[in-house]
Amino acid sequence: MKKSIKVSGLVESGAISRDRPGETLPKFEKRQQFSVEDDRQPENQFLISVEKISPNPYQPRTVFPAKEMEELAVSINEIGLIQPITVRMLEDARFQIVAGERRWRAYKLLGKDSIPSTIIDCNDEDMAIMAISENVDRTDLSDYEICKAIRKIETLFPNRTRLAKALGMIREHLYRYLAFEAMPTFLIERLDTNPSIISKFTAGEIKRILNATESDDLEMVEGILKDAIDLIEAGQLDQTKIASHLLASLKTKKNGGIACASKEIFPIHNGKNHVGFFQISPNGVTAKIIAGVISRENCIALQKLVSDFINENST
Amino acid sequence: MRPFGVRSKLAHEFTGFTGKPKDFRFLIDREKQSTQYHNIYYADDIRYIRLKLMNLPPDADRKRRIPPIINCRMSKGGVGKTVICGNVAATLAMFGHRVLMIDGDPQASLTGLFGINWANENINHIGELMYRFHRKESVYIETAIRPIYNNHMLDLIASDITLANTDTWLMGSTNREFLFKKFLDANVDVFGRYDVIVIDSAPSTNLLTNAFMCASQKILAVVWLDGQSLKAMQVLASNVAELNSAFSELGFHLDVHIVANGYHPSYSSCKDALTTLASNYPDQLSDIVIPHASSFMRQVELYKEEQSGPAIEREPNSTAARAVIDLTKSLVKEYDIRIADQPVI
Ligand SMILES: Nc1ncnc2c1ncn2[C@@H]1O[C@H](COP(=O)(O)OP(=O)(O)OP(=O)(O)O)[C@@H](O)[C@H]1O
Ligand SMILES: [Mg+2]
Repeated sequence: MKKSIKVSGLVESGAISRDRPGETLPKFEKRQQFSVEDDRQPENQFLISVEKISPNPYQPRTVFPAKEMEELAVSINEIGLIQPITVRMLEDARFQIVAGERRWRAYKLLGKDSIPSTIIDCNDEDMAIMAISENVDRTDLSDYEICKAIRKIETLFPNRTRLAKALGMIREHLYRYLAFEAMPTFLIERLDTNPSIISKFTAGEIKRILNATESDDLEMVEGILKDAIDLIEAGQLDQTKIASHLLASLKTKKNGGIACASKEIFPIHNGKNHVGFFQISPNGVTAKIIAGVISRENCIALQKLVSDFINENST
Repeated sequence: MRPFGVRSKLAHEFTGFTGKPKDFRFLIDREKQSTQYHNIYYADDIRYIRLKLMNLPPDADRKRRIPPIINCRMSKGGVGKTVICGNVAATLAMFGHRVLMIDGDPQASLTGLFGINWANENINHIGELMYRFHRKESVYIETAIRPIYNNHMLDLIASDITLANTDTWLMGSTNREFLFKKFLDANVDVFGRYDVIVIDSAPSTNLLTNAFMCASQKILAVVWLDGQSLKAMQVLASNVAELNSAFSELGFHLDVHIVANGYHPSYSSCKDALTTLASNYPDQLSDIVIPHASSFMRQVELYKEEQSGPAIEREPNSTAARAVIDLTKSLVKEYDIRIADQPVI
């Protein structure tokens, strides 16, 4: 009998490969739901009274903006519910949402009595995973909130490898989120009121620097960090630059040098012409003057002046 | 009606019969046996035998709900959507499933593949049915459905060039993305008879192709193995992502299953393209690869159009047909296509 060409066969024979790096094509996101919802068996689909349903206790999202909920309710009213929500049954004949809390809330808003639901068997571990994976890819949940949600369910798993696997993340990715744990107390308090001040990447950078800091310097670094967070919140410091900012500030502070948070530039004028600038930044001092406006003798005098200053300071 | 049947060797394979070859023909009605010409088995025979092998009565039926939908899609023309659509649909019917094909392309190439000349016939296409439904006029679906194989094993809602007008009125209707889905749901008595619905789409991205996608759970993306076709994935991906983000709140999510078409072992560009596909879509790419085969090119007859037909009908023992059969088997699993609600093993 004739045989079909198979991808697996071609890989085995070496004609093609499955792991060519680069050349990335756009990804298609997979359905973040249990395959049970795919299963068109009506046997486990029921209309359940909305009052008998309660939310997923592991749900990281606690705020459901009224306006969004109203919009969702309007579209559900027009189009109908495309997929039933997923629930599990509790012992007292009540139900807990596995997926679809927003849809359930919208149903309540519409004043409906019951909602189409798929009942599945689901243990605590799965409940927790569902709640998080439904939210991880959403842009409106901050990294810090996801970290907190992960922490909440962590104890359900024997180790972090298993946790990462269940969340469908690589371990590295998981550790990124967990970097928030290493943040100093003051920063945790700030995050609790404003969870989106810093991203997981920034938290990772801060963690890296704190780990590399000798214990004598720790207090100083935290002081600098505090100022830096203020600057980030005020929009005066780009959080992706936090590492270089912290290191430069530490250097200047330790050397008793220039205390300044960001660049200060003083233009130099020759009458009304702009001929150069003098710049102070956490990284140091720069002066630049174009040719032809200062004599060689004056240059040497200036250089001597600077050397004298520095020698004076160090003795 | 097309008199297409397979010989006993393929019939054995399609029914999953494992007994002695000489016992096979006794699975069919005595009455039928005598009329059986050279042991040809039609789609309804295969269904009959399969139900018998599952210990079910011949009239076993399914619950009236919308069956799985295979929507052939690609945001590029000429990649083989229609070829795969027509062959898979015919093969599903030959496996014993009740199949409804919907030609969703104004080019009407699926309609032509089954020998129907839209220029000479009165066609009620899917756009017309949706329009009447939208205007709350009575809809005669039954007259729009054309039988292709006996006993409703393979039916077709054909298309013609006027289907291209659909977007103009869809534009102004509310919930236009879900109008097709609503139409199916409202007529579940008709559409629920089938074990699977197979839709051929136009290559463009428009309101009608979106409406088909919004009724599907998983589109079947057909990719021709060259760089240009891989580029078209970008357009398809943003189309899918847009629908998914617009309607995620309603629980809508569209998945994608990918089949590579036109593989030729002596073209390194095919291997290159397949490597890129396999590396990027390990979970979505079908293991079965459709070869570049001349049988697919011989499907449509220019002057004797009534003799046109999918490769599985015209050359059932060709390499092309083998690929189609194996692809169809994998799609039965992938889309959970059943017979009379019974999962197929
Ligand atoms: N595997 C194959 N081997 C050889 N020829 C093929 C193969 N697949 C498709 N073809 C040929 O390519 C042409 C286009 O195929 P088809 O009509 O199925 O593409 P399509 O994607 O439906 O196009 P459109 O976008 O115009 O609807 C046809 O002439 C067909 O015979
Ligand atoms: Mg086509």
